[in-house]
Amino acid sequence: MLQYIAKRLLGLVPVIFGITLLVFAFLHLIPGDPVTAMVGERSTPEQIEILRKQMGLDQPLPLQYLFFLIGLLRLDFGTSIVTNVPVIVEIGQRWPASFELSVAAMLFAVLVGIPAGILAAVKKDSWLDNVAMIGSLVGVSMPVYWLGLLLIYLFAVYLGWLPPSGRLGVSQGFEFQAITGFYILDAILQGNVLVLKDVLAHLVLPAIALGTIPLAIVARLTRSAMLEVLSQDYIRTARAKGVLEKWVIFKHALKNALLPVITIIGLQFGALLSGAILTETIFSWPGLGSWIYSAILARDYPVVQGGVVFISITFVLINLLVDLSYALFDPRIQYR
Amino acid sequence: MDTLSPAVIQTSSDPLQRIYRQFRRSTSGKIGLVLTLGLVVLALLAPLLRPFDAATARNFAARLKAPSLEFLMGTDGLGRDLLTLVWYGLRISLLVSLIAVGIGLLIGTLLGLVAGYFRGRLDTVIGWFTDILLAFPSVLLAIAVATVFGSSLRSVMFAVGIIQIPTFIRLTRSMVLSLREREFVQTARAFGAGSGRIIFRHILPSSLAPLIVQATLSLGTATLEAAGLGFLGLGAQPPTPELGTMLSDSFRNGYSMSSPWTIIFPGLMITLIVLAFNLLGDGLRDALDPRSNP
Repeated sequence: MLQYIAKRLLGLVPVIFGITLLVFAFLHLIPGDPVTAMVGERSTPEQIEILRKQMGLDQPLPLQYLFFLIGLLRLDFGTSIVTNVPVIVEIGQRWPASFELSVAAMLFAVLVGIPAGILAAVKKDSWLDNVAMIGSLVGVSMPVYWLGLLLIYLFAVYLGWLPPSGRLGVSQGFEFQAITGFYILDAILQGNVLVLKDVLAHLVLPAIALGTIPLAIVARLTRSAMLEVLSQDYIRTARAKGVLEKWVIFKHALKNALLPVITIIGLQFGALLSGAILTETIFSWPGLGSWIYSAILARDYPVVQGGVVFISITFVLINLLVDLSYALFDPRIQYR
Repeated sequence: MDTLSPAVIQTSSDPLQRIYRQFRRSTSGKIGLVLTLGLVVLALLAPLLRPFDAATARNFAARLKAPSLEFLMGTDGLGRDLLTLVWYGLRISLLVSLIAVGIGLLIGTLLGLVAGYFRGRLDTVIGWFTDILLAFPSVLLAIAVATVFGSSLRSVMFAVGIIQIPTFIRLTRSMVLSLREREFVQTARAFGAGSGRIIFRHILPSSLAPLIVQATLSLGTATLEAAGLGFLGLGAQPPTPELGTMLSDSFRNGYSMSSPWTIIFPGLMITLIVLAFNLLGDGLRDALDPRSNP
């Protein structure tokens, strides 16, 4: 097993190298001079030259790439041109927000999706099954940002039940200090019920919007996996022995049906953590996605470069973890 | 002897008829086909039924009117009839997704064929390229490509096309790997057929079914991704009536909440298009590739 992990980690090296190369190439392909775009048209040629030297842009491209790589190895992702904060510091500040949102979205997807899938499989071809499957098909067909806007309109503007954006109600004058950056955890640590309630209220709508696609995928997959397992001989044997139907479903069938579901949950989680750009933008969620998006608009190249590399590497590592976790759930899988 | 009538033998051996019979049994496939055809016909008829010029159409006296008999879907911030805009948005969405999937299908299939057939170093390089493309979250990759090529419909087609490539490489390669060892390919090789002939005359036709299914499903994701780029402001620029751009327009100019019809209808149209492709893809999978159905 250890050997297998080492082999897989080694296999990641060329991929990560390729990611850095591609990101670097992309940013140098962008038409127009990045420095002029950064400092504005009105700056003097001297100012531009100074910044160019500062950023190492006067060096030949291969050398620039080498510096970029060496920086990455030292966890130096560059410095934001807009805020002048090191990219790695900003990543540290923002990833808890993205992580919290992704976990909430995944919880929503799993807690609704798995029961819906089981129910649809057990009551195959009933109206319940039809509703669940049509619902999940519509779920994967909807643009996430559109669903987000509709949710904001309905629950925040029209009904006024939930806050429309952000992570915390600023106007309410809470005495709250972010320690870990995970607001739910921070609120619990400080025993602040008021803040906890507010944080949770802010989390509901973006989590539903972000979680809808994984929800639909989880529900569909749970249903088909359950159907396959339920048609197998050992289930028939269990039923013939007179095992209660609920035991057949939850103990005998579900356990085996969950393996593919767990796989897809892992893969979706990787996609969520990184792909929340649209959702975070709609809900003004201060995570990595909205940060990279505003950096693209502001032409803050170090942020785009560092942020994209960070997110892509995280994505690759999560996918590897998912792969490795198969063994935990399915002892039949042998690693070589 | 009557039991083995020729007609029975013929229907069961004609693959097209078998596919047709399978497809007819799939409810989602039928709904998807009707929806897709309906949308395509609507898109084609737009200039005939509702002539419209994006550059000049605006009527500030009728800004942000709620849906009524005069404007069935209301009007947008420039006083343009939303029904017309959504209708033309449908045209643009279909065109963009078709071209984007065309790019992905063409490049991806070619690379997949080459990788799977020739193996060796080429396969390693193409595999590396695929892994890297897949390592980027698709939205991020599309944003990167669209940023490089500037905000326009053309760069959206290109960006969305590029992110479809790895899917087609993987699919084609896996099929070629199993097909190249099959007897009919071996026979062709024994008869002296060249690589090009074997790939395009023997292997490619046998891989068409899964490719068609994947391409149909990809049309759905391409529509979503293209609209997403439009929403981020990286696609068609106003006044082009692109559905994602319309949503972005309403959201950014702050009337999405006070005039909700400006977001409801464009989003509904995107959902309808994607739903149509997904249903059709499901039905085609049932008919063409029954074993791969999850």
